[in-house]
Amino acid sequence: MNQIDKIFRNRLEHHTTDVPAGAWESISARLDAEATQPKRPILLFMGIFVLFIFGTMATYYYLNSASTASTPSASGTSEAPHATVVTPDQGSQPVLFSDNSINNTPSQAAVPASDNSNSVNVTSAVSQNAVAGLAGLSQSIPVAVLNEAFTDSESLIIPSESVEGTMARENIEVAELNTPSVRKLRFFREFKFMALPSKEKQAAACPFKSTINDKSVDVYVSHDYGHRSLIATDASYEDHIENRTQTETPVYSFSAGLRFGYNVGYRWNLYTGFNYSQINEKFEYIDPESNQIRIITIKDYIYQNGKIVDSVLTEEKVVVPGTTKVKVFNKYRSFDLPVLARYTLYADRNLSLSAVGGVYINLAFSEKGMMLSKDDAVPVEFTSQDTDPKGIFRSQAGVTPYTALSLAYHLTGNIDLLLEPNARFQTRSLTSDQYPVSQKFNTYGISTGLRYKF
Amino acid sequence: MSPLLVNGRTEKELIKACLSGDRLAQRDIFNMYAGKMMAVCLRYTRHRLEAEDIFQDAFVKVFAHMHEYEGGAPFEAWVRRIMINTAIKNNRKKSVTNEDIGLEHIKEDSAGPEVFGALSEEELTKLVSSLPDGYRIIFNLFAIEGYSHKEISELLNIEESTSRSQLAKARKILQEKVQELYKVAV
Repeated sequence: MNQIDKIFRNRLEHHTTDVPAGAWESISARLDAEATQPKRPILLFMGIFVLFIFGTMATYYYLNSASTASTPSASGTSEAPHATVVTPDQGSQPVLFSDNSINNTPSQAAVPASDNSNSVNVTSAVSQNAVAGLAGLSQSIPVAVLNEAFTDSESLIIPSESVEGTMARENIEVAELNTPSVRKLRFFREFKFMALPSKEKQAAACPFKSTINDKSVDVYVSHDYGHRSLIATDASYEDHIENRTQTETPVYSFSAGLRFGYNVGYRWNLYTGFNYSQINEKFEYIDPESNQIRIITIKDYIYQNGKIVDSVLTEEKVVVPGTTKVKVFNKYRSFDLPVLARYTLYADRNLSLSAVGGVYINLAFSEKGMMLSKDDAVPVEFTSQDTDPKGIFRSQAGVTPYTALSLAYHLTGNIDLLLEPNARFQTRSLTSDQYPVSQKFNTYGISTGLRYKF
Repeated sequence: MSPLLVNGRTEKELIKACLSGDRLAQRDIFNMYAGKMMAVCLRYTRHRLEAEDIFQDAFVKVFAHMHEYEGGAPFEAWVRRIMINTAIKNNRKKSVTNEDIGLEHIKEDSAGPEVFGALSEEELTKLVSSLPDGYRIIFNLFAIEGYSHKEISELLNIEESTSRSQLAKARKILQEKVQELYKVAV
C-alpha cells in the first residue's frame, strides 16, 4: 500500500462528520411512506397461491375422473336390473319396472285393479347377471361387475283400489365393462432462476441467514395427492393389478408436521422435526357375503256388496344375494423424521423463494383397509394391528427423497407465511419381498404453514 | 467486553427491534452510525448536497433491507457497504463520462506523502471529493475501504488494469492538488 493511501485510510476510515439537520425526520417519513405503499409481492403471492390451488384441484379432478370412469350410470345398459310385478289379471305377462320408472314415475307403474280378487302375487326378481357377486368372479368376469351396487333406499307405492304394494328397494348402479385407460400425469416444468450477478446482490439473498434470526420453527399442513404405482414381479399378477386399479381410487391425502430450522451458512438452512403423513384411498366392491332383503307389503281389501269392509296386510321378504356396495377407505400412515436442507434462491423484504431438498426417514408405517386378494380376487382386510398372516406390507417405509419450492411471505419480522409445493418419491416398495406386487406412492402436495424465527 | 448499550439496548437487540418495525430502535441505529456514514458519503461525492441525498437513500435501504443482514460481518461494515453501493449506483446514474485527465500536466516534483499528514480530516475529504468521479471511487475503494483491484473490477465492471491506472492517476492528482494548497498557503 502506498504511503498516501495509508495516510488517507488512517485519517478517514473512522472519520465522522456532522449529520445534516432533519435527516432522520426525512428518512423516517420515507420509511412511513414505503410502509403504506401497496405491496405488489402480496398480489404476486396471492396469484401464485390461487393458481396453484386451482392447478392442484384440476389435476386431482382429472385424475379422479379418469380413475372412476368405470362406474357410470345404469341407464341404457342391458345389465340394468328390473323389478317385476305380476298380477292375476295379466296372467303370466310381467309388468317390468325399470329403475327409471321406479325412481321417477311410480304412478305410471300402477297395477290394474282386480275386481274381487282378494290377493295378488307380487314377486321381485333381479337379473342374475347384474347381481353376480365376487364369489363368481373369475378371469372371464370383468372386475367392473364389482361396482354394481344398490344404494339409497326408496319406496315403490302402487296405488290401486284393490292392490297397494310397497316395495323397499335400492337403486342399482351398473358399471360399464370396459376398462378405463390409465393415464399418466406428466409435468414438464422448467424453472429458471437468475443467478445473482454480482457481489452487491449477494447481500440481498438470505433473509433468515442471520445471527439475529438463525433459528426457526415451522408448523405446516400439506394437502396431498398420493399417486400409486403397482408393479407385478410376476406377469401372472397383471390381472390382479388391473383388478386393484379398478377397485381402488385415490382420495384426499394429507400430511402435517413440525420442523426446526437452523441457519448453517450463506443461504443454507438445515431442518429436522416430525412429519405425519396419511395417504387415503377408496376401495369399492360388492360384498359377496351380503344379502339385500326386499320387503313387499301387500294390502288386500275385503269387499261386501261392492264396498270395502276390511283390509289385510301381508308382507313378503325377497332376499337378493350379494348386491351391497361397500366402500372402505384405506389408510397408509407414516411417521417420519425429515432431514432437509433449504437454499434461498431469491429474497426481498416481503418474500423469499427457496429450494428444499432432503429425505424423510420413516420411523413407523401402518396401514388399514381392504383390497382384493392376489389369488382369488376376493376382498381381504389388511391392517398392521393384525399379526398379518397375509404378509402384504412392511412395517417400515424406508427413506423417501423430498423436494419442494418454498415461498415465504414475511408477515412480521419474526413470522412468515409458507406456501410449499412439494413432492415425495418412495424408493422402496411398501409391500414385503414375498408379495408379488410392488406398491409405491409418489406424493404431490401443497403445504401451507407458518414459520416463527427466533 | 460488554456490548455497547444505546438507551439500555445492545446493538443486537436494536437490530432485532428494527426488524419488528420499532421506529425508536431505528432512530438509535441511525444515531449510532450517521456521523461515520455521512463522512463516507462525502468522500464518494463531489458536492455535499449530493452526499446528503445518497446518505438518506442509503439509510432508507438499510432499514428496508435489514432482514437481509447476515450477521457474519459487523453491522457497521454492512451499513457502510450499502452506503458505498448507493454512491456507486448514483454515480452510474449521473451518466457523466469519465473525465479523461492525463498525467502530462502534472509536474514531476509533486508533493510527497508527508504533506498529507499535516492536513485535517475535512481537508483530506475535500481533496478526495475533488477527484474526478471514476478516480474518486477507485481511490476510496482501494485506499480507504481496502478493496483489491480484482474486487473493484468486479464491482465496477471494469478491467483490473483500468483500476490500477486510475488509482495511480488519482494519487498523482491528489499530490498535485495538495501542492497547490501549500502554494496558496505560502
